[in-house]
Amino acid sequence: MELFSQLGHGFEAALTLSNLGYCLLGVTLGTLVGVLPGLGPVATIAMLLPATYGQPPLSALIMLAGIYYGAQYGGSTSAILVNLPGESSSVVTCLDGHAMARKGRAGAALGIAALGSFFAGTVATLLIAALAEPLSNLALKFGPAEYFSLMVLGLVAAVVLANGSLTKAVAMTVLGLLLGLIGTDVNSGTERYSFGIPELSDGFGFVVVSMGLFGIAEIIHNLEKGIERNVFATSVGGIWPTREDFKAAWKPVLRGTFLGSLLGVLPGGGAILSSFAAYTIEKKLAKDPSRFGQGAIEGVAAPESANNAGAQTSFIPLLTLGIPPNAVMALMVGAMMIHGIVPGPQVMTEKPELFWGLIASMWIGNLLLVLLNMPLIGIWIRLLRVPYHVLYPAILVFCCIGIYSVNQSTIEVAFAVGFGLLGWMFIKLRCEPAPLLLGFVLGPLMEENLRRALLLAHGDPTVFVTRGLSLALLLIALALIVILVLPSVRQTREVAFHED
Amino acid sequence: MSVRRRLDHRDGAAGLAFFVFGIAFAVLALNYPLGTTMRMGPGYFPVVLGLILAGLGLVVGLGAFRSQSVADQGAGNASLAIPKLRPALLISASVLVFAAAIESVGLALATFGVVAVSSLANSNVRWRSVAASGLVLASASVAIFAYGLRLPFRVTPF
Repeated sequence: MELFSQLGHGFEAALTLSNLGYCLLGVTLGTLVGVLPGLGPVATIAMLLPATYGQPPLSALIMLAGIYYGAQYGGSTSAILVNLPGESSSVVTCLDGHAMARKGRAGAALGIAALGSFFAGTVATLLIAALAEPLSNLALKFGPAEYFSLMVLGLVAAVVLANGSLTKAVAMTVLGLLLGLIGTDVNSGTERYSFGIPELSDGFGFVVVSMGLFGIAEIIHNLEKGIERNVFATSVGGIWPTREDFKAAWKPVLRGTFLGSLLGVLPGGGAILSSFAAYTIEKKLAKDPSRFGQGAIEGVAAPESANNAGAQTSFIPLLTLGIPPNAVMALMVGAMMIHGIVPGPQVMTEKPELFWGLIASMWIGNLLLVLLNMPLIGIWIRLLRVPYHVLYPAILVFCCIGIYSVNQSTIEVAFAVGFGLLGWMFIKLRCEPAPLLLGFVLGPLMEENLRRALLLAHGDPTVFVTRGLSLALLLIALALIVILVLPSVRQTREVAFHED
Repeated sequence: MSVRRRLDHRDGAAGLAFFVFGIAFAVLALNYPLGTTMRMGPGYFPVVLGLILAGLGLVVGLGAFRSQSVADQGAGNASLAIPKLRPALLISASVLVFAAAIESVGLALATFGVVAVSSLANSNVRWRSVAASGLVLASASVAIFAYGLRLPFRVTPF
């Protein structure tokens, strides 16, 4: 089996002492971020990007990836114990996880969340390994038309899966695309929207935009509404779930893993939608749906497995096609670029050690997370008690250092303040920033491929529908839109996203 | 379920913001050569996107006059509260303090400045704890970023 020999090489690369250390560091930081509200994985990864300059590329990617899926584990801890999702994909875990904690079964809830996530992580790792080769081969057939259509699909999916109003999400995406165009136009060398500011001739830095929108804005918003936390941890109880728990949970874990893996691959998908969808399905399948919200273990097992699977399979489009399916993956593009790696199908053939090493590290990281989360839960509980007024100045300090260290530029720190205020406004107007960030990353790529495709086709716009692959991608995008406007789906979506 | 008909302020404001952004981007892009569909100039894509954004702004804005959707009714009040400006101002100021201080007085004092100014945004400031976390964070960031990761920072004013 070639797959296993390649995975074997990956493990060899990932199992060096220093890479294991970076993996441990990544998942520990991730858990920390997940546990502490007010700091998501996007902001953390943006913050740590500059710190990875000096590391070897594989170590850097291993650490950053660890932060992402580690946050899914940590998010469940604060959801269960404090009834506050530390991470947006843990929103539904609050419902039954916290109810279990109130019944004195916090331990079992934490245990099943960790074990379910580990199982999901294992399956997702194998899935990435299996799908990588065929998808990369497909991607090598892509021309500019296909890439453009793929990005259209990605943006449509991002919009469909965004939380809240659809039109607003579309508008945020378009605004992101426009912001991405700021800077020098690759085709003509014209500087657009730079107003003579030299720092803008390359456009806004990715770190600047994401730290402003996700870091600074979030802090302002939290302080404005005031964060209250009551740690509910009088009796965590046994961490190991009982035999009945396992009996009730194994099917939801399987279903959650399957659903999460599937939705993670979709552009725009990932952890958040997976957990919502998994919860909804369990509630539909349950013999007695009224138990949900009262501490049903299925309501913890399914979404926690799903969000972890989704977090991991969302690496597939990035690694095979070079298209980031969500905001975190967009940051990973930035991380790869810093190290001179252009994400896309050629990574697998040109840098097999990096590719398979990263995949292998995900399984190792998941194992480390179980070890971190089951026996060490007491430490995380203590961390939950750190008050927000101590926490947020620290987050701000790290944001500032992160932005400044990218280019040693003070004006970029000031730009981030602007994006922070913009992001705060968007939170107040209930516009989600994630589609904007995705549009921001894809904007220049989309324009480039659109222009190139039309040039190659002598200006004939039908090129997007006469090439089979491109047509297929556009049809999938269309199908997503059609499904979405169906009244029944629309209503479920509104109810599902209503929880926060 | 009673259908309430009243203006959703959030949607109204969001629509207006999108409209203004869209028009601004489109108008500014007219300064750049448009080109043709086959050979697009640097202005083509932004003009089209700007107009699309302005159109979406209108849709969002006009939607504000419609009856509220299921989600919005559940979410309660659709009107915008007057924002509390204190956190926004002080958090912004603290980041700007960092920008102003990092190159002139160095990382240690810049960190201290961020902690001091941003702590004012909290309603009950306890100065002893602010001083303590300032000290801890300043030494931690110097240790991690300047010495550990060897980022080229000025550390002290001297």
